[in-house]
Amino acid sequence: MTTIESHPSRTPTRRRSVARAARKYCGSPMAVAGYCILLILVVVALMPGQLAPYDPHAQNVARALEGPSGEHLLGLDQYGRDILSRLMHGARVSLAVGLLAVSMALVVGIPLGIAAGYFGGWVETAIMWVVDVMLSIPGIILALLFVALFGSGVVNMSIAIAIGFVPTFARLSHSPTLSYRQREFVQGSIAFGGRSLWVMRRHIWPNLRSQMLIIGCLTAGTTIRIEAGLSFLGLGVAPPTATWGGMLRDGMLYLQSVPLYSIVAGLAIFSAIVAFNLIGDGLRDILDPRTPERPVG
Amino acid sequence: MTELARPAARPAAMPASDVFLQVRNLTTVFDTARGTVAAVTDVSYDVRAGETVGIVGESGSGKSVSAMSMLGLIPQPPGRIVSGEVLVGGREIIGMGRRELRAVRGVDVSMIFQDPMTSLNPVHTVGAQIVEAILGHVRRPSRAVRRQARQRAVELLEAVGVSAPHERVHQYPHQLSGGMRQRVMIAMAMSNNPRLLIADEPTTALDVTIQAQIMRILREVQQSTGISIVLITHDMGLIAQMAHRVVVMYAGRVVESGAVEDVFLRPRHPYTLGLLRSFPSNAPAGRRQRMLPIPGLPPDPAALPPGCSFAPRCSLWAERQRCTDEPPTLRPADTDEHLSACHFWSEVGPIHAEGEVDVSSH
Amino acid sequence: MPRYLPRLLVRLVLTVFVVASAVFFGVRMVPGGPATALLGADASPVDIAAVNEKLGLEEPLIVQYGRFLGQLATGSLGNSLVSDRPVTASIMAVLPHTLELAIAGMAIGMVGGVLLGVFTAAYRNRAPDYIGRVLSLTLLSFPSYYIGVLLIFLVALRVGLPTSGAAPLSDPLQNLSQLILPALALGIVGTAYVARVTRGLMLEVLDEDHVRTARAKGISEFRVLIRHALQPASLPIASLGGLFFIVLIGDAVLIETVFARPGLGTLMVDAMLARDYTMVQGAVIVVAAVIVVVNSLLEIVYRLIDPRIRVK
Repeated sequence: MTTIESHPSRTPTRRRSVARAARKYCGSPMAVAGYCILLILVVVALMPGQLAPYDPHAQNVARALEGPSGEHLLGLDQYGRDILSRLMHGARVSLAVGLLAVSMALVVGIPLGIAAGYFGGWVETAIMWVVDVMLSIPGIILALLFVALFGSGVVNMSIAIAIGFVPTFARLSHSPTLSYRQREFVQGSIAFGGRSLWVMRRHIWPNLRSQMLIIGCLTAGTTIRIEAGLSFLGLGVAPPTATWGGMLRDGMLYLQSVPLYSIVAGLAIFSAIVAFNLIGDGLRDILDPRTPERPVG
Repeated sequence: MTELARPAARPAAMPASDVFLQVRNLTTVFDTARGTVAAVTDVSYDVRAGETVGIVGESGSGKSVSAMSMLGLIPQPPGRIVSGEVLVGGREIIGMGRRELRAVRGVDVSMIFQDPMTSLNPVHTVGAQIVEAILGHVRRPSRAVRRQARQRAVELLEAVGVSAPHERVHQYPHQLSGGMRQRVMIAMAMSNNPRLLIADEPTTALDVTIQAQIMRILREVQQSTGISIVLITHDMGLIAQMAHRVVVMYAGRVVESGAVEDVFLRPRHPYTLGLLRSFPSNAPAGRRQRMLPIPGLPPDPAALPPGCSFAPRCSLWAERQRCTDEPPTLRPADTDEHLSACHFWSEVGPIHAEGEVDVSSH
Repeated sequence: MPRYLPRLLVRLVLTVFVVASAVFFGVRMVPGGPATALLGADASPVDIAAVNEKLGLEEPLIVQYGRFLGQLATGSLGNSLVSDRPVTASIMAVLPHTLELAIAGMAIGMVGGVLLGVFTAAYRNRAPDYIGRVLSLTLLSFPSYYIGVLLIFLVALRVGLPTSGAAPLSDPLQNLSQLILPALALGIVGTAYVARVTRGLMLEVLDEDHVRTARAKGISEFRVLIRHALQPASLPIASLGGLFFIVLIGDAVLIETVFARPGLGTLMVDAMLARDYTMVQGAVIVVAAVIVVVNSLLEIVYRLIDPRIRVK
């Protein structure tokens, strides 16, 4: 018991601090993978016309269901359309509907949840009661119902899917608001005559922000899944517009002869979902590890 | 508590051959996001059969980690025992296989913890938890063995002064008071007649009157079973009441150790002196001293000062080079049994200028 | 149990009332009215009038609503617009298939998820944990309907399991052979989800003091995991069941389509494609009712599990 061991922690290497910074901003290697996938998908969705090798609607019935070749990397569908080009165009609908739906659900749900927690009383009772009833119906069934009644454009589908997640975000922003409502800094600014809207924006929302960002990210994966699901059921954006879900369904008919058709369509859906899941998980690790598990539905 | 008062319970110094627990050069580190941090560095001490050793220090001094290392209770990762030996009854614990270690836990060495509320499982009855401690070491217990275990649980509760033990065994922890819960913990710890009990801040979460009861029970248990006790605490008063010998820890190292009488009467490390001055003495009102807190805070274990870790807070330091250059080692001061890790131990003064602390007062 | 019954009933009645009203008014908000939607934009006014009369749509809304609620109170959901058969009969004919599928999917998801969750928690921050976490995140990103398609391609077409239909329960072997793949498709995603939640809850409990006490007692690590970590965590895990069931019923809609399986989901989708509004309306109401009943029953079960609630 004579000499003192040197503490490795006292000599942080330069490499470690770089790694730490990278970890802070990207979360983890998995999150970086998520950012990369999303970046590719977004670029493809923004300009499929420039990137896709063929017109997604150009038919060549004579060569229908041809397998992959140098000319058509993923082969041709039942009308002889290029599957790769249709997948690239399909990114547009999925990402647009997925992101629009999450945004709408966030914008409507969070203020409802904050208002319920902040005002209490009958406001809270009414909002949370409706939320509870809505949460007892699966989101996809609400979306189906809406689309069946009002038709399915990109906007209608986004609204349809958003409806199912408004109660989720209301519920998730409600309980933290309740506890922040009791904290000194909120009580203090109310005592000093702060207006309700100002207090909510200034003191409550900033505390919810990171959790809502994480859950929003994870939910984007779910909304994309539901969008593709609606298209899969034939209730999505109408053909001949290319959608991943529609392609998965069409491909199922040829599962024995041309399995690749369905498989790549499904992989496209998977890639978008996994990107948002990876990013959401990465954000959770850096911003707020105590964020509740993703909402499903 | 009078007929069980300490003088009778405290045996005379034991011969060294009766050492039951030997900790030698134990070093435990934690791998954290900020790098590897040593929680315990080069810690050594002995515990003899039937004696009580107090381990004292501020929070973060490594006193709990050193005790948990002994039973392999450090979560790994992030924790890691880098070096050292822990001999329990002559057997090496470090590096023991899971199964062997399990046979030591609760049988040779058991442990009680700070907060008896959180230390008991809320979803099982206290009886079930005591029975589990017994049957956990029996392979394929027969019905008769199970019945005996239940019977023993009741007896154990009775022995630690739980009233109506037949009913208590069927209750859940939240139905008991704090003192009762700690008694249950003691009963559970004693269920396999261990030879060493590690009590990690056993009364910190309890109020003062309950504290005294729990300490009395521990003394009674020691007297009737001859068990050794390692008492981990930050309370010098408890050490004075309970311990035969004391190990003072600071920043993961042992800074002073020795018999309680020696250390309390003639502390040989300025940190010990600081601790003694900062606790309210139980001396009669006329001799009560002012409490003098130690200035400053314990150092960040990830960034220990060079040389003596205590130097920045030390009343003796006086900017001497040696304190910041050369890490002090633990070596005999006054007697071979009294060790100090201070370069200038001989300069450490008495606690009270006008008298000595009354060690025997309760 | 009897104490919970009135509360369950109140919740059931309220939810059904709200859902039914929302669907009722939703259907009548359709641009051009249900008759136009049903017959198409170029339908003749005579046909539209005929449909309107059949549905009682020309009467004031409040009268229609009153009649609708009156019907509902007697347990009737009206007649199908397409087949003119009672909606309740069609639903009751397929409901067992959906329930069977949801229960089997839930069983797979709960058992698989708890096992995987306990396993990864036991190896926290070591290789099996990382592998398990990557696996569950990956599985979670697969839509259940895609897993269904993959199962048909990878398993059914090779092993020779049926890829469509559902036999009645009176033919258990055939029934099982048609149930197993759809249930797996539902259960795999559930497994991933339950595993993640279980792992999180287990890690929280494993950090608690009483687990350290259990270890200090020298009982086996397996027993520590099961009795001292999983059991206290079982209540929140079980309460996940209610939420999980809702998701399952939603996913069942898609899985039933993938496997061309008769059930509430296919019934609903077919009715939507045929614009059979009373059928859609009835199916949504039944879904809500089933979910409320299942969730209330689960709540009763939780109360029986947890001594802290039971004793009080």
